[in-house]
Order: sequence, then structure tokens, then C-alpha cells
Amino acid sequence: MDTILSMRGIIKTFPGVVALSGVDFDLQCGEVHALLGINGAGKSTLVKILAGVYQKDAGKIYLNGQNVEIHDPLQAKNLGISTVYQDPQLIPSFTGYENIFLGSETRQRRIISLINRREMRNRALELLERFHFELDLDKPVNKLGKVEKEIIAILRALSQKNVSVLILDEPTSILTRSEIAILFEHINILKKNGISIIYITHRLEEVFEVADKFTILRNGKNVGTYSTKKTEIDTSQIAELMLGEKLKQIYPTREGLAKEETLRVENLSLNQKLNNCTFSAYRGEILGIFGLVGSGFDELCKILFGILQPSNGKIFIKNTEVRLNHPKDAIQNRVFLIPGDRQAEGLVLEEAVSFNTTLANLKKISTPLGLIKSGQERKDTLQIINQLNIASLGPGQSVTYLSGGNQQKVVIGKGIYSDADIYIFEEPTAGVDVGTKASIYHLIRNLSKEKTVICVSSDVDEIFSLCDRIIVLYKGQIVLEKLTKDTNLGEVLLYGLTGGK
Amino acid sequence: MAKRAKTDFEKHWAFQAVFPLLIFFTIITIIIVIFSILSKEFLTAFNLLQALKYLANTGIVSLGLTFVVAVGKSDISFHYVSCFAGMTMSYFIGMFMGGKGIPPIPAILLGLFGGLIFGIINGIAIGKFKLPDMITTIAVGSLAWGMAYLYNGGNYIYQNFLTSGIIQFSDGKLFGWLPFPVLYLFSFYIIGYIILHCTTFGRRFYATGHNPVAASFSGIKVEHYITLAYMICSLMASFSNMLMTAAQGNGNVKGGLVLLMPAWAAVFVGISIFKKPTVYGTFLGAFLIAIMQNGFTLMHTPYYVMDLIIGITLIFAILVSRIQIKSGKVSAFKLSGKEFQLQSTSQRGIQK
Repeated sequence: MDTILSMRGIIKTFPGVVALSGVDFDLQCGEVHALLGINGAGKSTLVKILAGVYQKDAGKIYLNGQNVEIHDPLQAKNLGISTVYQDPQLIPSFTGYENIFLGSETRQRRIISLINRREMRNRALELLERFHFELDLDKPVNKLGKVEKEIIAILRALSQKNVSVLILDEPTSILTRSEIAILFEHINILKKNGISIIYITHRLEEVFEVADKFTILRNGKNVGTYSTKKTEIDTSQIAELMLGEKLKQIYPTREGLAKEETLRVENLSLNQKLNNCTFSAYRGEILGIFGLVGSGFDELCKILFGILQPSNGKIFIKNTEVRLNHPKDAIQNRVFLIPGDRQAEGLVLEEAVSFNTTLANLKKISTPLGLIKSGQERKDTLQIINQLNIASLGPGQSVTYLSGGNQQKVVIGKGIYSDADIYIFEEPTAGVDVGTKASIYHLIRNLSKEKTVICVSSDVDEIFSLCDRIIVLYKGQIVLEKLTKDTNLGEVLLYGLTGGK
Repeated sequence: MAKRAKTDFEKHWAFQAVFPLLIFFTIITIIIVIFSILSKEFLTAFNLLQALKYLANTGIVSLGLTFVVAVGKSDISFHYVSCFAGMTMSYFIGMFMGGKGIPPIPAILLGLFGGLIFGIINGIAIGKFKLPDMITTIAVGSLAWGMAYLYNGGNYIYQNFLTSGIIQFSDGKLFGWLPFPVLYLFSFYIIGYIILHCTTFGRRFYATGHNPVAASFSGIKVEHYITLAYMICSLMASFSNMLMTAAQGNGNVKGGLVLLMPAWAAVFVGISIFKKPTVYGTFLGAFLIAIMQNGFTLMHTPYYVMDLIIGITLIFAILVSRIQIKSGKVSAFKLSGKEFQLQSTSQRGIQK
């Protein structure tokens, strides 16, 4: 087998941080090569350099033995490198072949350039025939299943001329078990057709199913390339390699002491997203729920906050069963969710800091008739700004102009001001810098002394280092529940990645 | 670094707040000067009161529309709804019980109630069932307009108007000099200002309009506030139409149609000054429109010239408000958008 692509000493820095520090990577002709690594390990940066989205700072890329420079995505396409991104955007009402040739339609060069549907369709069918795929391309995409959409996205990537390297960025994140099997069959057909595939994932079990080789990235470095055929390494060793050493000091000490039970969830289910989840949360400790994207943790948070209604199961708050039909009910039961997507779900960006911090508890700043006491509002917001150390010009500044970390603090401030008893933090530090991260962790720890705190995250490090008790969610099911001191990081990660199998 | 950014922002804010207001008053002054040159009657006390009556009509209807725009929706049904309300009132005054009619106050209340029903339909369809606002309000408006014809087959209703005392609601004066419409106008604006800008209700209207998801995540029942906004809008439009009906002394199916464009123009002039729908902004907008309406009437220009001018004003106001919203978004993107996220996600990698 020949090496089709080889990357040598790739370095990429973003302002203030090094994303890739000298990565070497080789891809053989006709192999499926998985790229493994936790969030932020540099997987995406590496493939984005290949796809021409980012430009490398240093290093060399050889394609078929020739040194190439990739300046933009178009150039990458011309070189035969094609990418299918996570959650491909297709136009729902367009048919399969229309989506495949979106933006590169066959045109008739006449007075006006009309789209030649027949030829487009023929070209699409040729493509199908070449890879022996079976798919109805005349149906609008919204009538197709998720895996078929993924295959159409792959076909779109393959519709470029002479594709030799195909990059698949977490293609299975929203697929079910049986759909994944279908996708893998297609990947194998592509492999037989001589297409080399870089497969990005953080699900370990898939690597052994579909890939020939895998490379683990950590902290922007290649920490090892292994073959899946030989048993050089087992899954727990891989987990260790993915994590490596970590900084400890940004986390406060784990000192939680479970007091009385405040929240109990029994047999909570939501269609196929959640399956019979039963657990309790206690005042005085931080309960961590770890799961990958798509494991159902988002749905769980939304059910506990009344945004989604469970198809089955009961929620008890302080031993009384509650029905949460709207976040209003949740807030009345003194539950507050600090949502994962702060800009979409947490903030009214155009408005002032004080507008946002007080929004969930307007009663506190108003007279019984609803008149706002602006003095009170200002005073209380200033207090929150000081307490959480929000870098802003004052209560009147619009939150649009705050940094991501400070915006997150405003959302937390809104939660604190709502006087809840049970706080659910969903991905509390996503897109937040290290300094703010540390202060958010301390804040959560302080909050947990008097209240119940549930921290839900796909960041295993965060869950393990911060929380007193850990629940691992895998494909909608609780697969592990242990006190943190009785488990280790590898075990938590392993259960999260594979469900413990 | 942070300090420099701060002062930039402060300057930016001061500029953004004061500059549009200056431009607005310059335009108003120019218009007043032009009209007073062209028409000797323009700056007389009598005409000022006349202008205030115009202001009352446009002002009241655009106040209601402000609430709908504040929750981030549109309403293009309120002028039709107002026709239905006006005809309902006229029917009860002139034709009910075989032509005997009922006193003005219950008739007005019935008219308002008629308008309110369509506001509720709009609100429930758009808030609760999440139908698209434009199409829904067109359909509901069409329904109201059709029903307004049912009362008298589209003919005028004028019976009992002179005797029932309804005209007094428009022509009456408080203390012998302050016209009632002006009184209504200011009381509604004061109440509207308090609701939208001084109470928790107002907060929830704005939160709903800016980010309904975040509002809902803060425990706000978004659909209630959308419904409420449509109710206020149709109520205000209905009231405005009834003032016009009282002033004209007869119920006219087409009477309310003139309300649509001036109201939208007033709200958007307000947005172009203050960057968001506000009660005071709408007032200034309605003021500008009323001055033009009054001035052109004095100059005996045909009515279509008026439509033309208001159309141009509306387009211009939308343009100005868009430019500001756009520039705000651009700076927001630069500060908290992609660049930042890139940096922070790679930092996540570093500390692991």
C-alpha cells in the first residue's frame, strides 16, 4: 500500500494558544484511518487544515509524494480532498440528486444558463453505480432517513472530480445503532473503490468496527498511531492516551457532603432519546452527569426544566411529585437550568446586563403591581456583578459586548438571582477561557454548599474533577453511577464512550 | 486594552443615542418651517389643535402596534379589525332594536369588544399555534373586513348619530379648550409608557421579542405576551376608528383603512431613532406623520399625495433602522462571535 497523504510537523496557533504542535500524520491508499481525541485535542483543526479552511503556520503536506500548499477549500477540492462535515446541511425540499449537485449544477450554456436536470440525474446515477449504492435520488431529502441523508452528503463530497481523500467528521453522532451499521457498509464499499478515508470520532467502539488504523491526538500532538487488526492496545489504554495528564489546579477540591435528597427522578423516558433513567440528587454535593453529544443529556436537562415533557416517568422535588409543563413551573419549584447554548437559550443579547440577570425573577425588583424599582434593580445587579466578578461597564451595558465567559456569568447570575434550590448546569464552560473556567468551577462548588447542583457535560475531565458523584449516560441509559472517589477517570470515559461493553 | 475598548464603547453609545434624535428634530424643524412658509394658517392656535386631532388618530393606533412590534411580530390586520369595531359601534347606535339604538358608552364598549375578539384570534393563532404572523393577520383582517360589511351591506350608518351624543366623544372639550381626543391620546400614551417601560410586563414583552427561546427559558410564557400584544393592538386600532367615526358623524366601512400606513410609519420612525420599538419613539413618529398630514391638508393637496409621502417616510424609516440594527450585529459578531470561540475551544485543548 502506498502512502497517499502525509503531513509532517504541522503547527497551528490561534491567538494565545497552540492548537497543533508538530503533528505527523500518514494516510495509506484505500484505508479508513480514524482520528481519536477528546474535545479540543486538535482533530478538527488538523482536518480543517487539510480541507483548506485554516492555513497551517508551519509543516509540510505531501499528496501522492508531492509537496502541496492548500490555501483555500476550493484548492483542497481540486486536489481531491473532500470533507463531509458534522450535521451536513441539505435542502429538505430538494431531491437527492439536486442536493448532490447543489452549487455545481450542470448548466446548459445558452442565452440563459438553464439547469440540465436530466444530465444531473444521470451523473448522480453514475455515481451510485460506481459505488454500488442503493438509494432513491428522486425523493425529496426530507422524506429520507438520517443515514440516507448522510450518504447523500457523502455522495455530494464524492461528486467532485477525482476524489482520493474523504474526510468524515463525526458522521455517526446522530445515528442509531442500526443506521450506523448501514453507514459502515457504505464506508467499506468506498474503501474497496480505493478512496482513503479519515474518520473523526470519539466513540471507541466504532474505531474497531470500521477503521484499519487509528491515530490519537492529545494537546495538539500525535501520541500514537495503531492498527486495529493487531491487539497492540486495549480500550482502557486508549482512554488513558486520549486524556494524558491534566491540569488539576483549576478545579476546587471535592468536598461535597450529601445532605437530604431534593430531586428524585424515576424511570424517566423520552421516546428513543432517554430510557428509564432513575437517579437522585442531594443538597450539598455536585452530581455530575457525563455523556457524549447525542447521549440524551440535553433532553434530560430539558425535561428537568419543563421544556420537554417525558413520555414516561416521574419527577419528585423534595418528595412531592411535580409536573413540569413549562420552565415557569420549574422555576416555581425552584429548579433552574443554566442552558448549554447561552446565546440562543440564555440571554437577551440586545438588552442590558440588569435586564438579563433579573429576567427570571422580576418579582424581586417590582412592586406588587408590577412597577419596576429601578434602584433596586441596579443595586441587586451590581451585587451580582461583584459576586461573580463580571467584567462589564455596569448594569446598563448591553450583554452583546461582553466576552463569552462573562456572558456565561450573566446567565449564572440570572440563575442565582432566581433563588432556586436545584441548579442544573449544562456544559457550563463550553467556549469559555481557562481563567473564567476556574472561577465558574469555584462558583459551582460554593453554590453546592447550600443547594443541589447537577452538572451535565460532555467534558469528562470537568465531570470527574469537579463532581462528587458521577452518573454516566450512554445512548439514553444510565450505565454507571458511582461516587467519584470510588471510580477513576478511565472508567468514566470508557463507560461514556462504549457503555461499558 | 480593556480600558480603551470601554471609552470607545461609551463614545459609540453616546453617538448612537443622540445623533439620530438630532437628525429627527432637524427634519421636524425643516418641515415646520416649510409648511409655515407655504401656508399662513399652519402656525395658528386653531390649526395646532387640529393637528393634535390628527395626532390622536395616528398616535393611538400606532401605540397599539408598538406592542406587537415589541414582541417581534407584525400585524397587518388592525385597520380591517378597526373597521369591524367601528361598524359594530355604529350598528348599535343607529340600527339596533329596529333603529332605536343604545347609548354611546355601551355601544363603544361593544365595538371595542368586537375588535378585541380579532386580536385574540390573531394572538392565539400566532402565539399558541405558531402560525406565520404576516399571512395569519392578512387572513384574520380579511375576515374582519368581510364581517364589517354584514352590518349594513357596506352602506353608511348615520342614524341617531346627531342625537345620541356620540359626536361629543370626538368634539367635546375638557375645561372648554382641551379636545377629548387629545386627552385620550395622552392618557393612553402615559399608560402605555408605564406598561412597556416601567413594569415587569414590559420587560417580558421585550424579552419575547428579542429572544423568545431565552425568554421561555426564564420562565416567561411567550405565547401569552404575544396574544396580549395583539389584543392591545386591535383594541387601540378599534378605539382610533371609533374616534374617526364619531368625528365624521357616520359609520363608514372603509373609514379605518387609512390607519395602516401611518401607524407602521410612526412605529418605524420610532425604531429608527431609538433602535427598538418604544412608546416615546412611536410618539415622535406619530408626531412627524401628523404634522405632515395636517400640513398637506392645509395646502389642499390631493389625498394620494399624502399616501405617497407616508409610503416614502416608511421606507426611509425602515432603511435607517435596518442600518443601525445591522451595524450593531456586525460589532456583536466581531466581539463575541467566531474569533472568540475559536480561541476558547483551542484553549480547552491546552489545559487537558
